[in-house]
Parts: sequence; C-alpha cells; structure tokens
Amino acid sequence: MKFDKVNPEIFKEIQVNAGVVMKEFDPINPTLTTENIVCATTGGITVNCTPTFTDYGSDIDNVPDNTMELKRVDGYTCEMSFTVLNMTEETVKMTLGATDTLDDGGIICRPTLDPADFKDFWYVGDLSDGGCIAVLLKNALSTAGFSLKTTKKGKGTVGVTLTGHVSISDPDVIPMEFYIIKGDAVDGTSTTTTATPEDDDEEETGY
Amino acid sequence: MSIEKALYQIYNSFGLTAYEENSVPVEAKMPYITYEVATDNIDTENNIALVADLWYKSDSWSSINAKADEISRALIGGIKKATDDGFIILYRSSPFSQNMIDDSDQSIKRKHLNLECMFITP
Repeated sequence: MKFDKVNPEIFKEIQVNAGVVMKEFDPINPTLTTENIVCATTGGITVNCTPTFTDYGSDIDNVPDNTMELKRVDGYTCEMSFTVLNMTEETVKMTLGATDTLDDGGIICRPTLDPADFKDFWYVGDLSDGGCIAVLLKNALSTAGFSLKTTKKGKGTVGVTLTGHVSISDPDVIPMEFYIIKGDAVDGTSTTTTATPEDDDEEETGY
Repeated sequence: MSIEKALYQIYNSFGLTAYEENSVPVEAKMPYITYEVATDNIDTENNIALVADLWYKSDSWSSINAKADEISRALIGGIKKATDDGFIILYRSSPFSQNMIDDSDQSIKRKHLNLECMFITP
C-alpha cells in the first residue's frame, strides 16, 4: 500500500485570495458590504494567535521537558497585521491607536488610553468552496504605531499591527474567535465570481 | 468537468465566442477570443501564466478597448470554476493587455491579455 493520497474534500477547504479587514461582520448571516471594509491592503493580511506557556516541570529533576501535566498557558498574543494603501482619517486613527481630533480637523496622539480606543476588527477571507474563514480580533489596538513608507513612482504604504486585548471584567476570554463558514451559507456577494455558461455543450467544445 | 472545459467556460462567459488558440474554425468571424490552454495542479506554489487574445475587425480601437476593460473588471478577485475534483481560479496578470496589429490588414485589432491561473486540483 502506498500512502500518497489526499482526501478530495481538501480542495473545497483551501483559503484563497487576500481577504479583507472589516469593522463589522455577522458569521451567522455572512455578507460583504463595502462600507464595512476598513482599508485597502497590499501584500495580504497576517493573522496570528500565539500561546505562551510555562513549563513547571522544566526545573524538576527527572521530569522531562514538555510534560503535559505540568504545562500551563500563560496567555495568548492575538494579532492582525497588514499594510494599508489608502490614507483616510479613519485609517490614520486606526494606525495611531489613541487619538484626539483637533479643532481644525487634525489628528493628534493622546498620551493616555481610553476604553473607546479599543475596537473589534474582523478578517474575512475566501475559501475555495465559496465559503469563508472569519477571524474576530477583540479589543484591538494598534501597537506598531504609524510609519508611512513612500517610494519614487510608487504607492505609499503604512504597516499596521493590531493587537487584541483581554478585558479585566472577563480575563478568561481570549480576544480572538475563529469561524469556518461553508460555501452554501455565504451571501452571493463574494469578489471571487464563478463563470456561468451552460455545462451541456459537450459537442461544441469537444471536451 | 475537466480543467480544459472549465477554461473554455470561463473564456466563453465574456460575451464573445472563445476558441482554444489551435482550434479556430476557418469560418469564425471576429470579434472572438482565442486562449492558451496550459494545466497544472495544487503541487505548484505559484500561479501559472496564461494568455488570451481579443480579435476585432474594426477601424477603431474603442470596441476592443471596452471589451478588454469589461474582462479586466470581471477578473477582479478572480473567476473560479469547479472541475471534476477541485477548482481553478483565473486572475488578471500584469501588464493586463497590450495592443497588437496585423501588418497585412490594419482593420484587424488584437489585444494580447496576460492572465494567471491557480489550480486547486489533484
């Protein structure tokens, strides 16, 4: 026997295209509305959810490292990173994090944080079956600051890293949720379109 | 359906008859599309470059320009087609289109389209 096959179902489960960052998204009634897209991105979007552990067995004699009964989760670093192309007040404020608006409409950083500075963001990306993967980053704040990179004859970009935060009111809730939504549950407004000519044309095509 | 048939269906969804580039009937009348067929599979990391051509017989570039623009917009985000056991997704590539002429007949207007295809197939 040769172990060289794949489950054919995987071809429906592959994530394709860059996806979008959204302000709001309902995983129960998944729909893309352009007003909810936060910004234009380039180079794709990265979503990370990385646990940190303490191994209480690491300094105990005769106990191997990574003994599962002695391992504890310290926390999770939940982040969403992307590069923004379009410069708007909204994208600049998102990138800076804690901001105030000046009387003349200017934007200035604030040296203190306000709970309202922490916002939820969604990453939503296509799956090959027409469905999507959706990731909610809760209580997110930009932690990499604002850095505009320009090039001669090119487009200026701003790198953004949003970090999710736990709330003291519910410290056991990790600030990232994941949804896999099957193709038949998604509203037909996906940007990946499907060609529609009839299938019954065997004679014409010769295929 | 086969990958070849999926490509046929995608190219024939743009409002013109599309022929595989080696199978254009003698009696075919412009405007039409000719397209290259190349296939691959999920093992490939990168998308495969494909080309297609728009063929118009006209003294003006306006109609062929409009059709190229229409196809370009239709390809935003990719056009996906299911095959027997997977999917292909056709995207526009860069530069998307280039004008070309026929030296023997200046009324033949041609746009060379650069595309790329992702093969999510075994």
